[in-house]
Amino acid sequence: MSIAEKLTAIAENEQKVFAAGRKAEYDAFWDVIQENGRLDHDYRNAFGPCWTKDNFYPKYNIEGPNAGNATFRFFSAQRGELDLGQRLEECGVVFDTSRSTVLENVFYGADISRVPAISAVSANQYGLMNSFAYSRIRTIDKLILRDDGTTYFSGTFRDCSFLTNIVIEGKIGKNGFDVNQSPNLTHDSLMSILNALEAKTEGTWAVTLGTANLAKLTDGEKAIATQKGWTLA
Amino acid sequence: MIETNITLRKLTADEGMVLTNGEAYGKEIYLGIYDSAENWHEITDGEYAQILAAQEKEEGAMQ
Repeated sequence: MSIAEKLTAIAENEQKVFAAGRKAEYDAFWDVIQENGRLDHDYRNAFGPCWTKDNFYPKYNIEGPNAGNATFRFFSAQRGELDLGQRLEECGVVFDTSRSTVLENVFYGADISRVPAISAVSANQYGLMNSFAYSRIRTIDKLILRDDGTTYFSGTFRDCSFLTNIVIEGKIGKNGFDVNQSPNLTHDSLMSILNALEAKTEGTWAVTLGTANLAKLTDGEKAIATQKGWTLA
Repeated sequence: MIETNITLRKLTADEGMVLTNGEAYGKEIYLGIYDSAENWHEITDGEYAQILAAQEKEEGAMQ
């Protein structure tokens, strides 16, 4: 091959070499950040304020017992909100919290517009404490609770004023479920909450929807809750 | 065919007040079938704000 031919070949392959370099850089970076996808990797505060929609491109699934430990606490909006569900699909990875024992603060203060299905079936006694508080989340594709109604709520949706859509799977069986500060919830979302309330046979139980959300329900719909032993606040 | 009348029992807070049973809070309350109006009492909006602030502080301390 002559020098001229070699130079031509180099020029033709320039973009491939550049792309290969970028890929190697990406692999090296994310292999360290996610410890090569180790299931027991600790994600506590992993993607905080320095992370934006421009640099969050995970290589491995975010899963295991520490997947949801304040993972996206204060995820930044410096460059706009992130549709987390869409981004994970683009990256070909999943955020699987079904084995996560800690889910406190998982999206606390996060500038994320949409989150995919979040499972709380393995959450510890602090359950969903502050999990979506102060976030800009508009849509939670699905919130999966334990079927026995033992998932704990406290401040879960505090000042979560942008929340519009949520689907609940499993049962709400404990006091503390409060969406009073999410007045924009759709009727379908409210019905999903009412239908998820565990039927009680005694005791006093309350779920807080707030005046704005209560106004979207008919008396018959409110009775879905009250007849199951739940007081609506 | 069975026809059933379902009665909703509604409590409404006075102006500037919030109803509470010690755990839940609201301006309007629709009582569940096992609940009673006696379990609810009024507090002022200011007292409610103080309770919310205290809850935030307590939860923040647990983080």
